[in-house]
Amino acid sequence: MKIKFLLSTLLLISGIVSAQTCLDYIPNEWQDSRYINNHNGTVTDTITNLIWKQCSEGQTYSSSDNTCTGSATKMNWQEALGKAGTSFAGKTDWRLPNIKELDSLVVRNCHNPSINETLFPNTPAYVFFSSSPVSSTPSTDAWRVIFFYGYSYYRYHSNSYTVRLVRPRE
Amino acid sequence: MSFFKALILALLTTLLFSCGDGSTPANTPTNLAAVTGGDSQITLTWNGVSGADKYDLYYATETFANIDIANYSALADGTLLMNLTTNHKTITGLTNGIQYYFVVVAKKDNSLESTKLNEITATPTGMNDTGISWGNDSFGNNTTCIGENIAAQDCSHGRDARAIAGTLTKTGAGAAGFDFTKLGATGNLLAVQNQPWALAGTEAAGTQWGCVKDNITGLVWEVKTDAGLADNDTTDSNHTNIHHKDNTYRWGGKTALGKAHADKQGSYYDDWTGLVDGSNAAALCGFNNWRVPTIGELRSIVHYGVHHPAIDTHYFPNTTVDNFFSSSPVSDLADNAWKMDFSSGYGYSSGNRTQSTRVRLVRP
Repeated sequence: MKIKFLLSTLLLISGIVSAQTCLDYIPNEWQDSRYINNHNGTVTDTITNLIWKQCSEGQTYSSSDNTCTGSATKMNWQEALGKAGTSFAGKTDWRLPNIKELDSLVVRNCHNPSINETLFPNTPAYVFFSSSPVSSTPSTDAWRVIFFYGYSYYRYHSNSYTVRLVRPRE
Repeated sequence: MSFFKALILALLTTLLFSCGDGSTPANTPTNLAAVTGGDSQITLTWNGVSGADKYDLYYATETFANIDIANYSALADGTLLMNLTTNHKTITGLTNGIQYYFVVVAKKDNSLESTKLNEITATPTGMNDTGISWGNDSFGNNTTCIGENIAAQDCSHGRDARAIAGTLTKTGAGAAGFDFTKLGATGNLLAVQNQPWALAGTEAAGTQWGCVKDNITGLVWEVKTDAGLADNDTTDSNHTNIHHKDNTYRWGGKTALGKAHADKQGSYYDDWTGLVDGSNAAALCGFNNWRVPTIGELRSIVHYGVHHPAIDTHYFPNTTVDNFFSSSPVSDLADNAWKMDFSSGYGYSSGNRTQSTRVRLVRP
């Protein structure tokens, strides 16, 4: 009985977590081997030379099982920019990524979400803000990426989206 | 055993041990690996050899396979970094987009102890910045890098910020942090780099060019022309004036990703195959490995600091304010492919493969 309950709970959890769909005919340039897990809640991308927080802002990193718990916080652009300089993993040069940096996380062979879920666990298939303002009108917008399937577009600063922080590799 | 037999055996043994290249001695550093991330640099790591006190690292832009390692300087860009005491090394000042060959040799008491059999190759590449060198306030854009929370905004970081500060060194030139070089039809570096494109121009005058090399990503891009007329039917097998700015193609020709895969989804049309084959046959800018770029590669040349079009138009003239197809299929819509809108730089997924769209080739 106990085992049955545990099994059904596991199935329920895995049913929620593994909603991601990947297609094998599209090349996967975002395999685990591309990244170095620093085991402190950060991941190094060896192609772009960027260090990413594994969890979205608002989530909590759990080192024992290398996962992110809790819900990602939605915030407007100024609040997102204000996350820069917060302290994590012994560093204070964390900042909002620009649109090209943010887009480099998009896994083109998968959707829902379109990110490597081993290294960026529990990522919401939602919209993430970049630090890039928009040259064309309206200039009250910022670039963002939808991590459901990797579409990028701009929307109002005042809208609330999720945030993942980045810092350069030394 | 006769004296002669013993002598021959001794000679053979000497020969075998002096030509160490025949097999990997136990003391050759193993697992030589390269981390390619980082502009103009490569980080190498290898397993330490027990008993070795130093390592010599050789690199060149040709293989070491056919030479004695002592003659490394005869190879193109042949370089030796001697007496390293760690089992990792970051080499800077390399050229992006060029393949390098690396060999690490273990030493003891300043003599060579192992061979060159751990040769690996790696190609350094960098990542382009966005081109945004101005800041934003909630009511609008500024002309310089000022605005609310400016230290966290795009213009305060990366190559563009260093370009504003005047601390960025470039191989070529380009807007903001971009670094481009114009190439002629045979791959020659254009002698005159600073002239604008002219319809009746020449390479000698610097007013026409075939390609642009991106000195950060290492990619070489096709440049579109406004000479002559567009081919108004790219669906037939006869493709004319292949580099014309107004040629459009349905998605899925040669080099489209997944084209040869048994489980591919959606339709693949061969419209742009004539552009790929024609560029290779003519050895456009000296290259025969032209292909359609991925959506990430296409985004690398988007200049987000400007719009209509969102590209450095000095280097990429004749860029129509329109969509360009990438080689990347869309994972959740089988009939679509990723395209980049060069009016402002957003990456649609809504590019139906049947919709004729512009294409700009890249290599390698």
